[in-house]
Amino acid sequence: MEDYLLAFILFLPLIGGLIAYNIPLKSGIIASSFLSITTILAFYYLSFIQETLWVFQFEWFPGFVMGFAVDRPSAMLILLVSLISFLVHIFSIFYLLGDRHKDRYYLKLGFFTFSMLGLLMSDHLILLFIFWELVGFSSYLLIIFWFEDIKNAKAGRIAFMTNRITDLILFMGLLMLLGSRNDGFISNLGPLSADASGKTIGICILIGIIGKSAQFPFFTWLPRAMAGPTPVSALIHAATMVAAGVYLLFRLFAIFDPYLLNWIASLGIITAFLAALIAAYQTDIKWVLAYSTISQLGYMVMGIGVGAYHMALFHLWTHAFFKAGLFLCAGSVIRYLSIQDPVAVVQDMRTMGGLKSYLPITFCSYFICMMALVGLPFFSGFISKEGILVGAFSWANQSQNGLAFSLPIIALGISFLTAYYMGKQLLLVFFGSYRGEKYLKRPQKSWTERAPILVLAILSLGVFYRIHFLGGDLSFLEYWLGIQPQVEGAGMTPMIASSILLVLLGLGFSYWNYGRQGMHKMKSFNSSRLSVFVQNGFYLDKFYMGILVPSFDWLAFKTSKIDTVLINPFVNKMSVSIVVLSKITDLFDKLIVDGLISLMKRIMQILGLMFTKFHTERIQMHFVSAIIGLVIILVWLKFAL
Amino acid sequence: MSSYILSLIIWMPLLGAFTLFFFSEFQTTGIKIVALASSLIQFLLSIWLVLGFDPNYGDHLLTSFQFVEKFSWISMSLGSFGRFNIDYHLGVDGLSLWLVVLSALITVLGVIASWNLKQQVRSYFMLYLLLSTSIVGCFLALDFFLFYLFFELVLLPIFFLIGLWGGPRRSYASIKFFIYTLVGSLLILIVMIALYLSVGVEDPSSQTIVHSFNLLHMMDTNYFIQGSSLAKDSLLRFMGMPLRAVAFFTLFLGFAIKLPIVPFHTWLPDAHVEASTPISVILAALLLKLGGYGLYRIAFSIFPDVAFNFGYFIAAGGVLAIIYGGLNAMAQNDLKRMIAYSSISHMGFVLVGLGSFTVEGATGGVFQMIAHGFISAALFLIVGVLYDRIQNRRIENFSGLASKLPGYSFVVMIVFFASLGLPGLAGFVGELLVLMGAFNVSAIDGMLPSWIGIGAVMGMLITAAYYLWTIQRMFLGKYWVRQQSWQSKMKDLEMREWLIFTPLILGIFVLGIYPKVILDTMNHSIELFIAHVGNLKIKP
Repeated sequence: MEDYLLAFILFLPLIGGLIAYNIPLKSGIIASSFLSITTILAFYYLSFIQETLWVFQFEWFPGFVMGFAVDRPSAMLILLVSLISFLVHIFSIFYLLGDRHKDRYYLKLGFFTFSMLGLLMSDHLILLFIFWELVGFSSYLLIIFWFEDIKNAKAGRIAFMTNRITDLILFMGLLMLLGSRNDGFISNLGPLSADASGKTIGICILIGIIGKSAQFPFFTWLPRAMAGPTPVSALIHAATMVAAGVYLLFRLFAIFDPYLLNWIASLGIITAFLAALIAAYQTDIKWVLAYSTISQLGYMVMGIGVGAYHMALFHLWTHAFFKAGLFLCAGSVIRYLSIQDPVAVVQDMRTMGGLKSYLPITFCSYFICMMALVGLPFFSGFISKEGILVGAFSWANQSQNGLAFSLPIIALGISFLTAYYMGKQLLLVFFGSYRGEKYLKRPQKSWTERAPILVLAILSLGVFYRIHFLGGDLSFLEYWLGIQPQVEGAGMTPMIASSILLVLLGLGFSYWNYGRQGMHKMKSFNSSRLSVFVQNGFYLDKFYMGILVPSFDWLAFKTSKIDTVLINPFVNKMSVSIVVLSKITDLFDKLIVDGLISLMKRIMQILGLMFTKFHTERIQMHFVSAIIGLVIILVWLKFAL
Repeated sequence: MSSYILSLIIWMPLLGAFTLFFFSEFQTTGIKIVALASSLIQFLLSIWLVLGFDPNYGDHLLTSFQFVEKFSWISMSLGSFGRFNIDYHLGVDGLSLWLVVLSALITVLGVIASWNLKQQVRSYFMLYLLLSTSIVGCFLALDFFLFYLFFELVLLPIFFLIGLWGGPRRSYASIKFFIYTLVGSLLILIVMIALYLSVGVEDPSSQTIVHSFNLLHMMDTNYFIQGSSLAKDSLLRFMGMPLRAVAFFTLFLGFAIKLPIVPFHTWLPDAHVEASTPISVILAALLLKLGGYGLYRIAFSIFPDVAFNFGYFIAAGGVLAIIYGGLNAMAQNDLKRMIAYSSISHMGFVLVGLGSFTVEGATGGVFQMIAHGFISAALFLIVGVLYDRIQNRRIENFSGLASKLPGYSFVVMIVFFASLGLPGLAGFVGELLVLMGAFNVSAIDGMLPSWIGIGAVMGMLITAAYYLWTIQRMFLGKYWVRQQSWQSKMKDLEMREWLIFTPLILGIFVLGIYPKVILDTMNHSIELFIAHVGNLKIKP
């Protein structure tokens, strides 16, 4: 029974996509209805799953068994992915209204959902890697969905290549791990050995994770991936695919040693901080959210690094809803503005403003999701973020190293930055008055636009996860994950309080800069060197695209010269010299060998001519020559004897 | 009948070629139908062979051949040199089985791809069918002389097929190809004669030594005559190297030129580029496999002791080919040249797999050959589609083809991504197996340092780089072609082209999703191969 159920959950999105592809007119409805079935099945499955794993194993090729397995955390994420995918499908009906290639879009989206669900279900390193790659591939397909603009095509390629680099390093790590163990089942994996090979494996896997989850220094592909349609950004580049790295980290938590975990935690906090800083300087509505995603992923990575991995997974869950909600709101704004004004740069926040009264539902949802993101009480993000912060503090408490406290303190600082850039975005987009050229008309009402946004906003409220304002009541986690996480109690209240305070400060600061009358005049979009430096993501992307990639191209070009300059001329010269040699031989043949022969011939001819003289009818001549001959013989006899 | 099935498979195309004598030069449709029918029958016979194949036959490499046919062909007394024996000896095992099926399939597709040929149709198809016979003959021969005969026979039709029906630089390319492979063949010939003189059994009745070209005898050390030059205990040296090692490397080089191995690869881009589409399909999908197959069946099986000691160098050569071929492909502007270089890169994996001396690695090598057979055939056909329409294939002359030619671009996406090793498609499985072998050895034995595997993975990265770049430059962006006159000719795939692509793409999917289909029948033979190699190994 369970086998069939999960097979249905896995394959329905793909089948739905295929059917939708073949019925272009109804593609959105068909694909969405398939996804709704998947979601219901996933919910149903989660409601009766017990502690036992669902396991399905098969022999992929002789001697190589792979398998699927689902436990509570993965079942929870399966529900998450199918639910958000379903909502995104619905939203896409609105977003892609009138697009010629909707059919193709739903096929790609279905394929992505299938791959992501497969990734969550697989229990074997190689199987996981297969879906890991397929997820990256479908992400590529969706980024280049509007491929006629070469910028999108380029963005897709760069996103795929960055992922490919880190994926292949992960692949190496997995293969080394596989080579040193008997089987590659994730549920059977023990800790890595402490020697060099174990460290290498750990680092390889870690690089794969930070590539997929867009951590420093591999985060530059994620903002570029925003070239895809906005619902895609919501599903793939905010809620699910980029969380795959965090998920893998969670799955493989057992194999890392504390030393490596410290590194993971530091990497996470560095990313979270840098990305939050960059986000504060962005002008593109989607890029702010993209960097914010990177920052939040850094939070989760840090959470796992400090051992609060259940909380990190919980944050993944809450983040998926509010970030998908924010992206869909952004999509709603972009779609609205691009219909009003097809030529304007619709993603630049500097040209927006005052949309609150035109898009009230979007505004409300945006507000709720944003409150969840910055982490104010009564919203979901608060609970999970608080959990990670508490985890980081207790980790720092236990640590021998005094520097360890810098992690939770920076994390607190990020709360301020997050609140600042989100407040800024809210004020620039929804408050003040519209700064674009055109006069805005009322939007068409569309439930496919509003329903998904509202659902995501509602799911970002705190009541679903915890009734109480503070404290250790985490019945949600206990119910869904089947574990009771260790939570420090009242001792942490000052920390929580300061976090709330910092968030409020950040919001106030953004109001001071952008909210006051006449103050939305782009004050902080100044062009001081430092801010340009930060705004461009510390020029990391410029470094990759300007130095690394061209030098690689140069290498390829130079290598190709070996063939055309070295080997081919050598071969050609050799053949030429052989031809020359044969010509020389030919000349030798003609001049020397043939020459000798003709010389002989000439001599013979001359001799012949001479001797023909003897054969004449002149008797006297014969007589004389006989005499001469006799004399010669006599003389010869005289001397010889 | 089933006892003669191998002969039937080999000679069926040649029968078709003889039938063509009854056609006049102008009955082109009839000629094509005969060619198609004979290759189709060959393919069906090969499928029948698969169905009758017992995957677990035999318990030693030397006894694992099925459907064996053995007749004395040439036998004469040479006085004090003993008897001279050449057998007509055929047999199939898991290693060659799928290569035969692949050859038959590609031959059929090649006929369909040549359907629009206008000039000298009869001689083209006669040569084409002769080529098919000789390729399949190579895969099935168990007598070295017979193998060599077929191996040489491949050159002749290919030389003319490139030289007469090829592109602008065809004569240069065909002569280059001919000379390169002839050098390889001569190296093989030398070793073949040396082996012949070293292998033999004493005939009990006449007390004379009977020499033979039997490959199975050559693989078995018991058949080597005491004190002969290539016997295992031979002390003869050539420039300080044991003669067996010299013989192995000579053979290795002979086959590696065909595979090809850097730096003996430059015939390949020229030959592939100048050949017409069906012929470059045959070249890439089948001819390169002759080199790989020769390494497995002959060089490694006869000299496993030497090969084992040099596994490291062989794998390193493979990595060199992978990276070098990839970087070169990256720098090309001609789509066909790029694909030709990517072939070099992909065949490097075969060497890495062989050099790892593990079941996974060796299986991966064979699988890579099969998978590459499908993928490279599709790749060259992709170039052919463009070239058929506008006689141009420069990458920079096109942009945004995806919006004008959606069907074509769909095929291109699948095939390119299969070639760059996307999981779920055929290319990934071979590379996975090879890398599993490479990393496995480095974990257990310490024989292959891990940089071999790392280098191979680097190669996969380069592959992804040039394919994605090509997709971006040619297929994405705004639709644009360089010349106005091309506009009207840019049409999407027609029925005949879909007919060729469909089996290839199906194969790519099946091999990628469910590789068990062919690995089940292959596995036992590879295990025996590795056991054979392992038994004879001498630790340095």
